[in-house]
Formats: sequence, C-alpha cells, structure tokens
Amino acid sequence: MDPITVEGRAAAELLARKASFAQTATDALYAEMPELTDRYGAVGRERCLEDIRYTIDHLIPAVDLAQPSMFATYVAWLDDLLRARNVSTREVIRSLELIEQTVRSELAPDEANAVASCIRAGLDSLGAARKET
Amino acid sequence: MTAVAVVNPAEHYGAYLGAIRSGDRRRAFQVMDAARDAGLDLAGIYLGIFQPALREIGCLWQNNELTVAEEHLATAITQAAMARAYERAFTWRTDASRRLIAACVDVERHEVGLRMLCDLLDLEGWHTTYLGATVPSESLVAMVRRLRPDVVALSAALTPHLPRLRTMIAAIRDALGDARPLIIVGGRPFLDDPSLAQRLGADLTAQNAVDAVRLLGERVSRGR
Repeated sequence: MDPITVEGRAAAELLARKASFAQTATDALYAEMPELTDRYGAVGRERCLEDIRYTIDHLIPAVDLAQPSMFATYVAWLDDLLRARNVSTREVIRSLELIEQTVRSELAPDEANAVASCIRAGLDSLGAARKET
Repeated sequence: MTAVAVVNPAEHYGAYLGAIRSGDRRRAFQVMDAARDAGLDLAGIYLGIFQPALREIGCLWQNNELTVAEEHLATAITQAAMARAYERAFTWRTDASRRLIAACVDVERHEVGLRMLCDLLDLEGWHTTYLGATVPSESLVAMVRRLRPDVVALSAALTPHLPRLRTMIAAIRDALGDARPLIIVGGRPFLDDPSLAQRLGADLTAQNAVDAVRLLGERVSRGR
C-alpha cells in the first residue's frame, strides 16, 4: 500500500481499523433492524460481524489498486452466497451503506471518497443483478 | 502439449463431478482411469475434468448445496487423483534445464491450479519445485536465492491476498536485482483482469495452466 497515494492511505487505514469499523457497522445494522436479532440470534450477529470484516478484507485491495470493479465482482458473489443462506439483498445493501457511513465519519474526506467509489460500484452491481431477475 | 486429445473430456466430467460431490474417492479414480484409458492426456484430464469440476464444487458451496467439509473432501480426492494421473503420465527426464519454483502467497490456501502448472511443466521437461500453499515470503526468497530458477510462479486466488503478493514480488526483485527470475502470477483475480499482473510487478499471467506452459516455453529458452 503506497502511502503517497490517497488510495494507498485509505487502504492502509481500512486495514489498521478493520475490526472497529466492522463492529460499528454491525452495531448500526442491528440498531436499525432489530428483527435481525429475532431471526438470526446471537450467533447471527457474530456471523454478520465476520461477514462485514470479510467484506472489508475485499474492499482493501480494490481501494488500494483503485479498482472498483474488483469490489463489484466480490459483492455480486457475496449476494449470491448470502441469498442461498436466506440473507436478503436488502441486508447486504444496508450493510454496505453502513460501512460507507462509518468510513465517512472516521476517515479524511479524500480517503473516504476513494473507499466510497468502490462501495458504490458494489451497490451498482446489486442493482444490475436485481433488474435481471 | 505433444499429444492431441481425441477424447471429449465432457463425457467424463459429469461422472467425475458426481463422484467427488458425493465424496466417493474410489469412483472418482475409476472415472479418471477410464478417461485416461480412452486416450485423454494429462492436460485434458486436468483442464477438461478436474478444473471445471472443482469450480462447480465451489459454486455448489456458494449455493449452500455443499458444506465446507464436503468441499474440502472433493478437493482432497482431486489432489489424490492428480497424483495418480501424474504418476502414470510422468517419466523422469535427465535433460531438464529450465527450472521453476512455484508457491502460493503466504496467506493463500488454494493450491490446485499451481500444482497443475507444475505437473504439466514437468511433462514438458522442466524441473519444477512446487511448494504448495501458504509459503512465507522470507523463506521463498531464500530458496529463490539458492536455486536461482528461471521462473517463479506465484498464486493468489482471493483479492485480499493481492497486497501480500505484491510485497512478495517486490521482495524477490529486491533480493535478486538484475539476476531476478521471470515472475508469472495466476489465480481468479487475474482471470477477471489480466492487467493486474503488471500492476503488481509480475512479468506475465495466463488464463490457464496450458497457456502458462506455452507462454513460459516461449519466454524461457532451453539450455540456460
């Protein structure tokens, strides 16, 4: 990760603060959707935290290489995987939006923009998938 | 490849997939033996049967139709089948002059594709050193220094491993300078976007193991 470029700095920040960002986004998702606790229980919340951490793992190289399409490919794959396990696309979309919101409140604006452009590409890939079906 | 496959691997693919999907090693071996007896060469078995079958196993896991344990079993059976197919195809050659070291990046566990490359190169008369999954960067660099291969092949199947791959490539370049080997990279991210290879500091990538064998044959001359 190149510390000279904004993408490199943003990726390094994501890597260093992955655990806390994932926790913040998970807490926010469960605060918004209390029905998730009823549906998936405490184990579900742990899984959600793991999934969001995994999503940030995939966000990092896309940001670092300034390659939003790389993250879009991952998001489309993740959505297929989660829908096969009865997690709705709506929850995937909201979790991505909450990761973006967390990043915007924690990172410098230029770094947050670099991250957001990848998250937007991910959200777009879900929009396209929904139109097809 | 020297031998032209006269058999359509698709005839055997479905039966092989069914066998590994149900975790039946014996049946998988029978299907593979039958494909070989019908005249399919090693490249045909690897790329026509094993590779599409393992990709389909990955999709079945994604679709929640197989557990992780079942997926790992399918992979383990295929690795055993590869060893069986390879053992019967390979004859030791004393004239191997071109050398390649192959390793998965230090956090990467998807190793089958890289092993396919090494096996196919062996048949073409290369001397390959296959290190498998999760190879620590420092020890790889030490081995590259010692063995001075013509080529280092590195594999990363998941995009989160790309930053480590770039670090590994840089470490090889730093350690060997002008004497550095050719560096080829492979894995799903490079199928999606081949231009990533150069961005990460590698010299080349390929769409599959047969393509990689051909490219390396063109780039590295015998008798170095």
